[in-house]
Amino acid sequence: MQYKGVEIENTFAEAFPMWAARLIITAGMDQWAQCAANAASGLATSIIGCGCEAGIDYVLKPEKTSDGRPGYAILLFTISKEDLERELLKRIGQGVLTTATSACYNGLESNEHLAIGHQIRYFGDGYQSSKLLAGQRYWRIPVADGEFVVDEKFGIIQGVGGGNIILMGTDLPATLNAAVAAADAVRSIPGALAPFPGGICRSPSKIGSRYRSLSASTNDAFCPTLRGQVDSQLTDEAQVAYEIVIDGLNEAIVAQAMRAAVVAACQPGIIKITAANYGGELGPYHFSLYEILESDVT
Amino acid sequence: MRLNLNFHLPNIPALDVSKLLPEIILKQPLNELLNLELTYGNQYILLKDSCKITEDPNSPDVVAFSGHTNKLNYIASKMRTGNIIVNGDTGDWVGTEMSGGELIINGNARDSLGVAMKGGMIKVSGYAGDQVGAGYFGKPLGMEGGTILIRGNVGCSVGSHMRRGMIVIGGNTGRFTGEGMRAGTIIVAGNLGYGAGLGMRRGSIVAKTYSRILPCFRRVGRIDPIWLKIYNQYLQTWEKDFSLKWLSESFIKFSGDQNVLVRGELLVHDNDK
Repeated sequence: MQYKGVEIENTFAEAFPMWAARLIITAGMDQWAQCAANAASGLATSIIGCGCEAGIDYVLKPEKTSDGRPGYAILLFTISKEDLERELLKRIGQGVLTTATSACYNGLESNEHLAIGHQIRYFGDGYQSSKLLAGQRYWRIPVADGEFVVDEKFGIIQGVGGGNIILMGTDLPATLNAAVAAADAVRSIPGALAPFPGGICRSPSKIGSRYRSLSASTNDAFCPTLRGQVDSQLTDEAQVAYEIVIDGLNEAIVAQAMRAAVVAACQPGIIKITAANYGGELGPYHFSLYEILESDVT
Repeated sequence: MRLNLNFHLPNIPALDVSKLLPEIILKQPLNELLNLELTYGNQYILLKDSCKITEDPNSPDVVAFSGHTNKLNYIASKMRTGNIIVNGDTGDWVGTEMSGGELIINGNARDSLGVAMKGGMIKVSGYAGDQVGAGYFGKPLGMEGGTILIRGNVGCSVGSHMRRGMIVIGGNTGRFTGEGMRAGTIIVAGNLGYGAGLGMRRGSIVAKTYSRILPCFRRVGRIDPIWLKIYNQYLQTWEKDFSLKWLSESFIKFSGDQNVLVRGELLVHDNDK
């Protein structure tokens, strides 16, 4: 199938259930809210080595936050609830609480919660206090610039992780530009996250390795320098490939984000778009490239 | 269904209307309702002899009192759900032990409004008397939950021995606001009277201006409380009733009562900033 002059492979992305949380981080100035958001979502490109996948979801105007200050929403995805609790405690405790003037609130309505603020409150060493407002408890932890305020509970839901598209292009500048456009398109959708740096993964991985200690290794089928040595999936003209990995709060958001990414990536210099999967045997979510482009198919 | 009760009580000083709760009377057939006995002192009067009742089946569920409402005591007492509107002033002990629902008073309230309240919402468009949100005399705890919003002034001992919940006063308070307070929040958009926080253990009293702070409170300094900004955002729904934008600004904090637990806080708006 051709879409805007780019070949779309008849394949699907295979994705998995992941537990997700959304934090709303505010601060006295936008600079510090962004600083706290970056600290909390830093080094979270892949659950393979980072514990979680995280990133900024959207920016909030002051009037839209709980305390009327500039805010950032960040998303976190992990494999298990226990991992999510550990990551939230670590990132809020070490990344948000430590940032000047910050506060942290729950950003996800859910029937399931993790009592994160309930645990972080002990940093107050007995001097903490709380306020109960409209059924929500906020902990006030004394710190050197006043108080750190944090929601007692954070909502969690089962989302979807591992949606993806792989772009192949004729040269690095064109392919990278297209990848940036695709990543921006993903980030424009609330509830969708492209966790890799800049939203782009330059090192797609495959399961397994010839080295027993490694669980994942470079996806040699997409490495242009290995053409001739391996069974390459790159076309003859493709010189570069980039992957956009997409996590989302639900299946519909991932599908919407994948579609937006494909549409944005179809630019001059892009030859083919495909997706990675494991034969459909592992992940319960399958996102067919054809189906997500259904209304635009030529 | 809206049930309108227009009271005419020329010869009765005060009537106990604690039985007139929406969760009960809106489900009762009218003939049963008319014969409901209401007490005053050691006597009683039938509902049909004390007020004129009209029904509006097409309106949302609410019980509305009008007429000699200033003689009605125990309005919404122990209410768990539903809506009551009072078009006029009320008697004493209104909203006591309320645990849910909404009570709107389009007039003034007298003493002991919201005593031992556990939940729900009370809104007063005028002023209120003493002991708002306090406890029964001799009981250790006052209000334990819910929200009381009073647009005008209030009397003494507001929030006495309060243990959670929120009281917002659009005007001035009398003496001893928050005495013996254990938790909760009192916000005073006018002037805080003398003796606020006496014997306070925990909780917060926030005021725009104050008369005099007790010597058992120690000045901590200027702070910029984030939690008050949350309250400011939450209370914006009632911005037209209360001018509360100052809640997002800076405050001078006083800690006390130094003779008790020192975990209470008095926050007064920093007018100098």
